[in-house]
Amino acid sequence: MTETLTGIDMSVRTPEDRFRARKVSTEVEARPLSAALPPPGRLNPAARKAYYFYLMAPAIALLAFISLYPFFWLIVMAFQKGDMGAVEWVGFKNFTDLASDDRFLSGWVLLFRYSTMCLFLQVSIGVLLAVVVNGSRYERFLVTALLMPMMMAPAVAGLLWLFLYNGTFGWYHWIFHSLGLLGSGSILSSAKTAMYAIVLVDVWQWTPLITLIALAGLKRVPRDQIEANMVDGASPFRNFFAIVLPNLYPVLLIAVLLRFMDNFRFIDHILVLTGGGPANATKILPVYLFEVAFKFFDLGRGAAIALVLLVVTIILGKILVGVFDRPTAGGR
Amino acid sequence: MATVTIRNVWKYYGQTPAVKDLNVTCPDGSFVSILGPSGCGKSSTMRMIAGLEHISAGDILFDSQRINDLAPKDRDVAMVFENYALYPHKTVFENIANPLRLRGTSDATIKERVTGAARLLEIAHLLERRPHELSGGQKQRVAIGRAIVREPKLFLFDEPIAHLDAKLRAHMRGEIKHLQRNLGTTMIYVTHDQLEALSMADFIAVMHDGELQQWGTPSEIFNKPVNAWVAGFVGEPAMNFLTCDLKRRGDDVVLSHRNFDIPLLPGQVRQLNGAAQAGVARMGVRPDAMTVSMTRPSEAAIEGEIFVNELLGGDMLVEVQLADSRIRVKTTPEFEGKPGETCYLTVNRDKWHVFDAGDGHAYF
Repeated sequence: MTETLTGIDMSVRTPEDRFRARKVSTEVEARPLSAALPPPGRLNPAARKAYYFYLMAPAIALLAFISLYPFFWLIVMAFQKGDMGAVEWVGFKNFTDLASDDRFLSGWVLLFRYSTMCLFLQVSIGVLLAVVVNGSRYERFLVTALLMPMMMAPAVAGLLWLFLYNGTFGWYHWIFHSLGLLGSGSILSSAKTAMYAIVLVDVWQWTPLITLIALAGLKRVPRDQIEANMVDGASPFRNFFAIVLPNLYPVLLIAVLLRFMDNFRFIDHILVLTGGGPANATKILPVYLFEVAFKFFDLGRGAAIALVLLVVTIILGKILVGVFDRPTAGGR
Repeated sequence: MATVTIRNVWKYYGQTPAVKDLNVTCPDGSFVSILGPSGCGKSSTMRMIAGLEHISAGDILFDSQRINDLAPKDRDVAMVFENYALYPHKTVFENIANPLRLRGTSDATIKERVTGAARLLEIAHLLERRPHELSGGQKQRVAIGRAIVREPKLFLFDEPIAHLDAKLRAHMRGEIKHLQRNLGTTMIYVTHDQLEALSMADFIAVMHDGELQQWGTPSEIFNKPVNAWVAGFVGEPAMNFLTCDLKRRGDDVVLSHRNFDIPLLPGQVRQLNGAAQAGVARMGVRPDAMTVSMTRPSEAAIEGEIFVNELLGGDMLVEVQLADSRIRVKTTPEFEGKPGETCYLTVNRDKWHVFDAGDGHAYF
């Protein structure tokens, strides 16, 4: 009922619906509002504002404990040198050192390559799958089937693919080898193919998320716009790019934002599959960060890398929102 | 420009028929209105013509070309949607230019045609705006602009002015009719508003429950409805219906009711054709085919009691209580009767109708 009330014209399609909506709203208007509601303000006395603070205090405290405290501690650590025992302040040295760290710089390059490939493949395949699945007779079944990879713990997915890529009994290894696409080595042990292998795993696991989000977006693309464009003379192909895609931008923004940030954080697959090798070919920045902080226990340097990564993530996120927001700005 | 022939067309949604064996021919250059209540199949019919809906059975022809299997883009029709269906991310100019762009028209021609259409619709000053910055009436003009910017074979208008306010609606009725006359393109106009159909169309196809009830000019639809349903649907205020007995009295046939006995005119007796010379029938009289007075004008007048008076500006509508029902009659605002008083109704027998009590078809 609330939906009919607040529903915009778009959702009201047939004349019956319009009639229904009008009828419902008349009933509501006819209700004696002024008599039923207490006078405004009585429920919301300004004097008791502290009350709301007390209500929120436990949540704030918890948040501070699990999130804010570590964050500030990270900032402090980034300006310190030392392992678990002795600690000394080193100012910006951790940061300036990064500029001459080859692994750090190549980590960025690899991260961008990895993330770009993942995003491109996931968005294009994801949207394509959503279009195919949308309105299909087997939509429910297909969605359930598609979601399965997403339900798997990333580390488990990594293990699964480790077996599939295995140089002795791996299925993919066998296929690619039979096709002559592979040299003598295995997929993961060749610097040329390892990166593509981990991209494939990420695409396999996370494309369904894009499909799901795009599918939800497709459901709300206004049908009359598609039909108007068809009558105007558009082929289904042009229709997709002229009407469907622009209407998908807002939801795709969310999908891309989610995936891009995940790519900057989640390294489960890589740790399980290659651990950054071979010869650092898959050592994207977060993997390097993990190594520095938790293998070499150079916590100050690790904290500095983490901070830089965080800042870049935020900036890129902002840019992304700006780019995607433009075509539909004020569109609805 | 095309003659549109709809031949034995059926539309099924699953097992439910929405359009049943429809046969209509829209002459080249005419303004045809498909009129009916919601769910009567009129929109399905239009969507089948546009190619947005599969034709379950039968053929649709533009001139002599069967278009059943053509994609919408190849049918060369232009459609205006009920919700305007403008592209929100495009400017008004690009919205109107869209059909031309999709056909690869040159930029110069597009500019010329779009500005021409915009000037015709008086929206030339809005071309740089986006749809969300427009009022309902302006959006509707843009939607029409998109339809007229190229020269299609056929215009399809699906309740285009249903969402406008009453005043603007009246204005747009005239504009659309004028536009169609000037362009000379065949137009099919779907509406549930009988006033729109009567005031604009050259021909009206009245539909009910997926079936064509009547095809005719507005005056034929209004004055010679083929059945009680059409008679009741068309006309505002609606026609009065009274269930009466048909009795033979000498050479005359009399319409008999608890409040009156009125003989049919001689010609009308012939039109009964012996079918229902005795038995039950339904009398139909439009509110303006009767007069009401406070004094008995003749023996044949119907006696009743005034239930309520409604002043409609230039007219007065009097609701009169008879023995078993109420009927409404139109009179002038000077009428002096008060509710509760006795009044007398005189029926203009040239303008009344008698319908079969069973299937409701009209005898006259």
